[in-house]
Amino acid sequence: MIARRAVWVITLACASLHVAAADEPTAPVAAFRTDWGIQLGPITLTPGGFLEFTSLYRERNETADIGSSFAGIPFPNNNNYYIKEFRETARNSRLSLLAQGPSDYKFKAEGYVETDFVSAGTSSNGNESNSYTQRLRQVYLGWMRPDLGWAVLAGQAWSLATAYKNGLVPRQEDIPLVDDGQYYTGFNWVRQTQFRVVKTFSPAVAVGLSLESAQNVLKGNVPTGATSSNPGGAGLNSTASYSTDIAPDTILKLALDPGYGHYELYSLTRVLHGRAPNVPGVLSTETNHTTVAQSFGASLIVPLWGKWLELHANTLIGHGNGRYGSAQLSDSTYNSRNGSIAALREQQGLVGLIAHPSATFDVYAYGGLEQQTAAYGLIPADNSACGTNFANLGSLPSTAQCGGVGRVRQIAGGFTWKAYRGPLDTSPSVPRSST
Amino acid sequence: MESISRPLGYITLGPEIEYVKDTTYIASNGTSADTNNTMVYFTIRYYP
Repeated sequence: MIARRAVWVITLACASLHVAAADEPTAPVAAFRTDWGIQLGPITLTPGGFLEFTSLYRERNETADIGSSFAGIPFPNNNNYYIKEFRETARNSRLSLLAQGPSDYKFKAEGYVETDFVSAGTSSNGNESNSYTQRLRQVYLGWMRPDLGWAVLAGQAWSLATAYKNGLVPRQEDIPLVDDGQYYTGFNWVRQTQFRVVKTFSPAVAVGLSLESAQNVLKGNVPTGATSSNPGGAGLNSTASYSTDIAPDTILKLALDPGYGHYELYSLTRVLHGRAPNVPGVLSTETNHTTVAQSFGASLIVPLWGKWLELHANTLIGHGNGRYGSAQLSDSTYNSRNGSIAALREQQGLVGLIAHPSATFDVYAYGGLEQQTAAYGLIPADNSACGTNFANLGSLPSTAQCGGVGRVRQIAGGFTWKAYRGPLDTSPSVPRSST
Repeated sequence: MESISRPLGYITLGPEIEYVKDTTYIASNGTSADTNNTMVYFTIRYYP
């Protein structure tokens, strides 16, 4: 498997070099090039990606690579609260390949694979060779009938819940400008396997329906006899917990491009499933429980000052939507009265301003929130243990508690400068979607 | 077409600063607790 991956990486690297040497003007973009590629019979192969160096510093140690743990910041009762963190990483470097069929057919088909190295195997460490593993970001096939406005996507891709820049077109997701691999608190996203159908009625209106791989992040006290998740079995990660799902997450989205900005409204419906006794502690009352969790979301992109300043925003409000946010709050907990799964009420949102003061300079600022209401066993008796210094924990009464994180707020800002433009860079500005 | 004697693509770079504040669930006695983190990133990307 490792040898096959190595061949894959080398092939892509050679393809990139070959393409880069081609004597023709191009317009590079962030993740892939759309205007030229390698011709393989009737198939056009377009390699893409970037090489990255990132240095990061955290005031409180999270022992995390490029992606921060927004809901995992240590409290004063943990020694890591007092320890700073420095790290350098190149693992966010990316390789992609887009394969497209002939463009003059009535039916169009394409395949896309995108990968990076933000993954760790059980033997990976930072001691000497830093041998981390390759990660699947996206792999999907697309089938389109442009004259009728129909498009089908099947595979692993950004969720339809993620905001788009225009229409509902793959690889046109509105990803924030960001260096942090976990993006920003309040950004609604998942990359997961899905089957999606999109109907574009006009350049201004598109509707999409997506059936996406389910996973319920369930926290809290597990009732005696309950089973709602299991360690990964064949083909899954044995150290991770997988929920017992019986139906896909269903997303229905409307996208509008009226000529001034881009606007989206969508519905997220989830089916949470498990088995537990109806009467706590009485195993003879075991039964299957199913809970339907409903959320609604929206997003927009509005130009505020011509091409110089844009407003980007997204929100998701409802029940059981925690894993669709960057802070990764939980989706649900157990109802301690009857063993069913209680979807937690949550609100998420992100607002961003992006300025383009020059063709080679982007400045950005974001503010985000993810907040949920605790229920049943997630409600602590008190939080007196959170703020107590690690050295003094022994002086606390044995009943002192520190509850889980239920609200994450974030502000962030930065700039991106296109410091060098080579002869093949004819793109007019800084690449927009950075990650 | 310009002679290709230097890197072909382009390079972007820039810093980023983040401030994050976490708050616990509200306890049954009405209390909550906070923690926070400040993070600074610096990233260089080469698009070949």
